[in-house]
Amino acid sequence: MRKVKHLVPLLLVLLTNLIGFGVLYFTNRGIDNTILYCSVAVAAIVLISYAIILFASLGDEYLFLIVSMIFTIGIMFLLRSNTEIAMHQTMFFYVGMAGFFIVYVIYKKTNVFHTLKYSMAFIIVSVALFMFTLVFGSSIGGAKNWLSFGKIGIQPSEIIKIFFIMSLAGLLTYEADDDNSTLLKRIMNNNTKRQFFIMAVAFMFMGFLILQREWGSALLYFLIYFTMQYIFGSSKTVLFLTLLFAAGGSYLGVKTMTHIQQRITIWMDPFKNASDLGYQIVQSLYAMASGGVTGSGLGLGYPSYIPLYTNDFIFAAICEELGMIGGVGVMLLFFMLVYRGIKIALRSTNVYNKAVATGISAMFGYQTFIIIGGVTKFIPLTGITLPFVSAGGSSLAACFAALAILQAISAKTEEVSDVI
Amino acid sequence: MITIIDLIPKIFSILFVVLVYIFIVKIIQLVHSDIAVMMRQKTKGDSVGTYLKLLNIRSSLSFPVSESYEISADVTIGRSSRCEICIDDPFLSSEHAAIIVQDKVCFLQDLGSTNGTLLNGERLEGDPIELINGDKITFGNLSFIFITDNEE
Repeated sequence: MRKVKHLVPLLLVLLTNLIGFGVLYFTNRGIDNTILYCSVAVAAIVLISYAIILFASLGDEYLFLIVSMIFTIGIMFLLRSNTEIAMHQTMFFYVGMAGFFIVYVIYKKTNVFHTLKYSMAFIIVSVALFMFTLVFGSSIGGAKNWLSFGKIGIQPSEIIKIFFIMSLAGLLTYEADDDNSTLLKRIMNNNTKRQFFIMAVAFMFMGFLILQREWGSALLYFLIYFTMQYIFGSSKTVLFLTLLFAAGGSYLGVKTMTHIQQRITIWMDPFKNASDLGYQIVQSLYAMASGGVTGSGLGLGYPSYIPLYTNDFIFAAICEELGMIGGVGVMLLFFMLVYRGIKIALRSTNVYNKAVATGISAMFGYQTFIIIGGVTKFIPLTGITLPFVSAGGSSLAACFAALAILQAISAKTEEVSDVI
Repeated sequence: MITIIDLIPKIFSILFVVLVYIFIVKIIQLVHSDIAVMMRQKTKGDSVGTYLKLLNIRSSLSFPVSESYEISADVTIGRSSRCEICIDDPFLSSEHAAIIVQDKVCFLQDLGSTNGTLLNGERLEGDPIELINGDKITFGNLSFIFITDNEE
């Protein structure tokens, strides 16, 4: 009984995979068998992973289904535009799933991450990674945020996101004790000082991102911090000061940085500079407009006219070929993902896990909002990835690690409610 | 000249989107049942009293069942709509068991069910047995924990 009910959404994912890849296979005549391999590889890993999640009772059954649907749509568009990138992405899916189960087991089995020691360790590791990137990093597209090891490049800010959420959760839900032996302990045991300390940490992270010229990530970190502070923090003053600093910071940024001024002028009127500065966004808008309501059909659009169509602008490609209904469908899928995350946070009985689940759900939600808002010209464009869809190993790995933590939290909650 | 062959990818693309939407509807159904449960819990409040708490994971069951059932008077449990606690579990008999309340003390009685009623793992025979806080009651597949604030 239980299995039949859960098979329906799974079958839908697999059927979507089959139809999508089938259409691609027949519309892109002359393309090699990569499409076939990718289709089978994605279907196989979805099936195997879901079977493990279901039969080993790894908590929430719907998180992974929603993500596999999002990923299936994403890989279809990568495949349709660039088979090599799609092959990489499929490989990263396997790596990501391996990471998913490893992170799941680590988070599920251990109960130490909420301690001050670990929060501080996460912060120190993040700062080290930031420093390392600033010194040795290479820049791609105006942002110095890549670390290259031979052929493999990683984007540390993607991984730091998770450390950021976990350390913030640890600090925000810290329980004061009587041990005042160190300066850190004295700060942490005083509620007001602690709130200011957390604010300082959050702004330090944002400062590093701004040094790397990652405006999108800086905005994302700010939104995550503000959400967590609003829900779990106890000081209204800090909340107000945060807003004030952020407003002041953005004002200064707009006044002094030509880079930001440019983005805003483009956002106000991309068509004025349609051939150079506004080219990306204008192409993205044209693509979405040509898609209309039902889209041009899978494999029948021309996404290669959109710059960065496998990465930041993949949503525009989806809108072109699947139309408005397809785009709204993708957004609804992300909405469901965030909903499940918030639900897990609400159900969890441990306050640290609640904070982490809230942070991760907020991360998925805001990240989707920032990039979809950017490509649709709803907000100024800042380049970050669309979770689980955009091509990119670091982004995918970070998303799956975050998903694994959510999954582990839901499993922990179910374990507790079984015992009562 | 548009031929059927040219239309095929378009038709399948639309089918593709339709599938995505069916998937979304399936998930929304789940959201709906989740919210319904939350609303029910809210109207009930956190009243501590005497109630049965479900031990199974609700989302793993194919039929609707509440997280908890309040017991303030005599209740019968079964598949039939005549029962105060009506659960459409195929493993339940139409009138499966009853909980009798006498002077705030609850007794559990099996009503001759096919699959039996287990109290803390032991099958009940005909006579009513007194329930105490923390007892585990099993009907078919479903397990409940009996919670009461009446400490005699």
